[in-house]
This record gives sequence, structure tokens and C-alpha cells, in this order.
Amino acid sequence: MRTTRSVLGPAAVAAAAVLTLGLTGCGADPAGEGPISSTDGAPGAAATSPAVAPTVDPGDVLTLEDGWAKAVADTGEHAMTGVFGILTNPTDTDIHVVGARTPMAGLVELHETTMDGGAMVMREAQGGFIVPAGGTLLLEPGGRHIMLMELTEPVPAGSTVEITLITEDGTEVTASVAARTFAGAEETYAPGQPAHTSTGATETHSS
Amino acid sequence: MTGRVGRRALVSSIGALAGTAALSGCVSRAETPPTRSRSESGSTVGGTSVADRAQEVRSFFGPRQSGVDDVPQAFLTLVALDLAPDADRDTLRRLMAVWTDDIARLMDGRGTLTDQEPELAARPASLTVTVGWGRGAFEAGGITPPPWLTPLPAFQIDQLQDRWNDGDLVLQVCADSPVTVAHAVRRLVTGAAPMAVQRWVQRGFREPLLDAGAERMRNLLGQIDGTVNPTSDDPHDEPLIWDDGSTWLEHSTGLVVRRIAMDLDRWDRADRRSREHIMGRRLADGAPLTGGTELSPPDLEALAEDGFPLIDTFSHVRRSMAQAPHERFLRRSYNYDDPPSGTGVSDAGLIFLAFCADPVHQFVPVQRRLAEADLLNVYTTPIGSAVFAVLPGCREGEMLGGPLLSS
Repeated sequence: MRTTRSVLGPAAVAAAAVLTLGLTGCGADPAGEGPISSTDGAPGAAATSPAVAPTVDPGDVLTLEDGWAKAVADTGEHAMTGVFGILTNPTDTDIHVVGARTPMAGLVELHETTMDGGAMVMREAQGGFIVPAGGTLLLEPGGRHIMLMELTEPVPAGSTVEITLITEDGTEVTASVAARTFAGAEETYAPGQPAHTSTGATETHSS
Repeated sequence: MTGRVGRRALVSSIGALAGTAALSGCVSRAETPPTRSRSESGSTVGGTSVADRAQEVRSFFGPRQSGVDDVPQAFLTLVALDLAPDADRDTLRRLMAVWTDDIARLMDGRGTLTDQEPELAARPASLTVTVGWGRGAFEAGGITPPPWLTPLPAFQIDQLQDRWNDGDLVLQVCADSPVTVAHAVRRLVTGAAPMAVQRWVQRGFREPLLDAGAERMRNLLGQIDGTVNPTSDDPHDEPLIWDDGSTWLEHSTGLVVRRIAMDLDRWDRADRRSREHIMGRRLADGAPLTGGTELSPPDLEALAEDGFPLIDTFSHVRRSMAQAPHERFLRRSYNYDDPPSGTGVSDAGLIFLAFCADPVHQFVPVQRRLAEADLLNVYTTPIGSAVFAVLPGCREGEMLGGPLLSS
């Protein structure tokens, strides 16, 4: 579905997105299935954002399809993991995701991949994520993802992680994502500094 | 045989919506006759184009799991796993959540959530993944097992090797593409860590160039295998395969795995007459030596001119015949032909798979008779043995084993 935007007009994409929602409810693991509630988290959000109708149906704003997080056993200052999936925007206006939070992590950042000295490194996406109108944005290992740091509890495979995405206008969308065993996502992370090479089971993080 | 229109049919409508090539809406091959190919490929197997067979989908969701009474696919990987030593009910619940979601996607021709090579899942090729629990899973979860779920009694013909025995969990992965099978196994087993780790793997195959819905396969001794199987379509047979709730859970079944090594060097020295005498059946068509067709009942009373029974007292067919109506089970076996470890040419045999509602009641009496006397025992040796409880199926939004794990 992520490649359909260039082919279809917004109405068709929206229809396809709705079908996708129905189709992906296929596991017993409700966690992998994305969205699904959104609230106006910030007082006055609607007033500051005429682009998003205040009466919009929750879940029609932004969804995280096939969301998952890499399972990790560690907790503490250096324990971290990534959240991946497909952000889908059925509206006819671009959505700007500026942040995220989860009770399981002390620090959550939106990350992107850049080349640094010939190596792929992760760093915070200073501008957040833009989910195009009627389109999708892929979050994947080695690409954009949501980084959870300073984990307060382990993330065992088969469990779920609640994550709340925050858009520029203050709208909050909470999704339940599935924790999965995953060998990858060991990329280096460069928080505004030279890249650090990872040797651990998760991305390294220089604090 | 519960088959419904696979989700692929719906996916195809999206594909059409998106302006991409529409996939054919496939239903389980088990319930629908093969249709002519609409693809341009002229290559066909059993009247169905290769392209169509690649896209065939079997239903994951339903009261019963697939991979039991549906048409056997050509390729099998059977994986037994052991739970982590500290595993408990929560571990089992999380593992079942992962597998349920992964299997639903894979059988639908999609990658798993974490899949970085979903292209390898794009040909479902009638993939089925059937999940069973060994006794260890019930113990870890503090769940009462089916009364029959114990290791089979020791038989005097057995030369069991521990590397082929038992296991806390089993995944029976079958498809008509070995690539599809390999990918599914890899994703499911690596995704199970650290909750469960692989214990043993058995790979098998049947004749892929066969209309498996119409003909039985042959084993590597050249014999037709699986004649007079019970069928779910027969109301008298159905409770032999599927528990009606009287023994354990409705829609569950039991899986008996027996790895049976074949001494093909010794078999080479047996002429065809001897082979037919051992079996009690003709090699060419599987008919009993007393005549008729493969499906004709053997006439155990018929005598040859010399006064001896036409079907030998110790022939395989006579010894394996049910002595009571319940002594039947659904055989869904696969050949194996692995690289030999020593100087021999072959390490070959049969991955004997039998599904039945109560293995102790239905299977053990037959195995006991064969162990006591069967001319075939000269050529075959059981080297592995395991029994698993195949869970009932689940609906969308549910989890395999969910009712057992919810409390």
C-alpha cells in the first residue's frame, strides 16, 4: 500500500487505507494491529490547527499499521528499542508528527537515517516526521523509526507496547504495537555527535 | 475440511483498486477443483498452472487448524521446539500470540511483522502451519493435558534416538514450494526465541508432480502410502480424526510422529514378488493380493493353491488392519532422503505422521501388532517418536490456545 500514493487520487487511497485496516485485523495479537485511538491531548489544539477538523473521527486522523517494537530484555539508562510500522494518513492534509511518548521509556525520539562518513547512522529527526496527505510513511529498521530510550521495563517478545504519537497541532494518537524478537536494528546512533558503533543487542546511545 | 475464501481474494480487490495486476481469488485447493489458469504461463501441474498453484491459499482461521485433513502439500518441515527452562503460562501466551499473528500472515502470502524478506512469503503455495503442544508445554503452563498425551509405550522394534524424540511444541509446516516452507520455518523459529528453541528438524517430501487430491503418494520403498484413510467428510470417520469434545477439546486432534528409517540396501535385494508378499498388496496399483483395486478390501480368508493364505499372516496389510472400528487414524506422511552420515548411499525413510483424536486408543493397538510381527519390520526401523496435541483453530482476533491460556 505504501506505493500507491503516486498512482491514486486521495479518495481511492483513502478507500484502500480503510480496506487495509479491515484486513490487518488478522492476528490474535491485537498489538500488531495498530491504531487506535486519538485524543486532543493539547488544550486548544483544534483552535490552533484549522487543518484538522475538531470533529474528526478518532483513528481517521493517523494510524500506525503493522506496528512492532524490537523485544529487549534490559532496562535502565542504556536500554533502548525501536518502534516500526506504517504511518497512514487518510486525510487530505499532511500530518506532522513532532514527538511520541510511552510509559515504558524515559525518553522517546523520532529518528532518521543519514550517511555519516560513509556509514549509515541514526540521529534524531529534528523536523519530526511528515506523513503526506492520503499517503503513508514507512518506519523500518535502517530507516525512520521511533526510538525508545531509558526503558523502565523489559519489552518481552509477544507483549505489547503502548505508544502515543503527538502531532504538531497537539493531536495525540495512541497505538498498541507488538514486541517481536528481531536480530537487526543494531544500527549506530549519533545524537548530534560522531557515530558510535554498536556491539550490543540494541542501538547504542551516547548520553 | 473447512475452507473459505482466503483473504487473498480481498487483497486482490485492493490490488485492482491500486491499478496493479489483480490476483486471482483463490480458495483452498482442498475443496475446489483446480481451475484453468488465467495466467499466460503454459506450464501446468495437475491441470492447474504453476502460477495459480503458487497463489493458492488455505484458511488459517476456523474451528480447526489446517494441515490435517486437507490435501497434503509436496513439502514438509517438521520442527520440534523446547520451551525455555523458566517458561511459564505467560511465556506460552506470548509465544502463541506471536505465532498466531505470524502464521496468519504467512499463510495469506504476506511477510511477518518483522519480515525483511517478505518476497519469500509472496507465493503461499498452499502453506499451512499446524501448531501442537507436547506434554512439556502443558506442564510449563500449568494446564491439564489431554489424557492420552504421554510418550508412546516402548515397542520392541524401536531403536529410538533422542535427537528425533519428543519436544514441548511442534510446528508442522507444509507447502507446495520448498522456498515458502524454508522461509516460514525460519521466521517462526527465530521469532520464537528466547521463549522456545529448536529441538529437532525433520524435512520431508511427497511427489510434487501428482494430483494429490486424487492419488496417494508412494513411499521410498515404492509402495502406495495412505490407502483407506479416514476422511472428515464421512460422519463416522470424523470423530476418529477430530475430537468431538469427548476426550479433550472439540476440534483438537493428536499428532503421532514416527521417524521410520528404511534399509534401502536390504530392500534392493528383495524381488518384487517378495515385496508384494511382505506388504500383502500389489506394487503396481496398491490392490490387495486377493484382487480388485487399491480401495478393495483384502480377502484375508482367501487361500492360495498351496493352502496358505494369499495374504500372509504376517504381511503388513493384515497386521495393520483395524481389528476394531476405532483402530484407524489419518496418515499424512512424508518421505525423507537426507545426506548419509557414513559410507552408505542413503539415509532415507518415512516421516510417519498420524492424526487421531486419541492416539492411545486408536494408534497404539495397531503399532503394537506391527511391533509384534510384521514382515516389513526387516526393512524398517522406528528411530524417532513424539506425540503432540494439535490445538483447535481460532477465529480472527483470537489466539491459538487462547481458551487454555486465558485463565
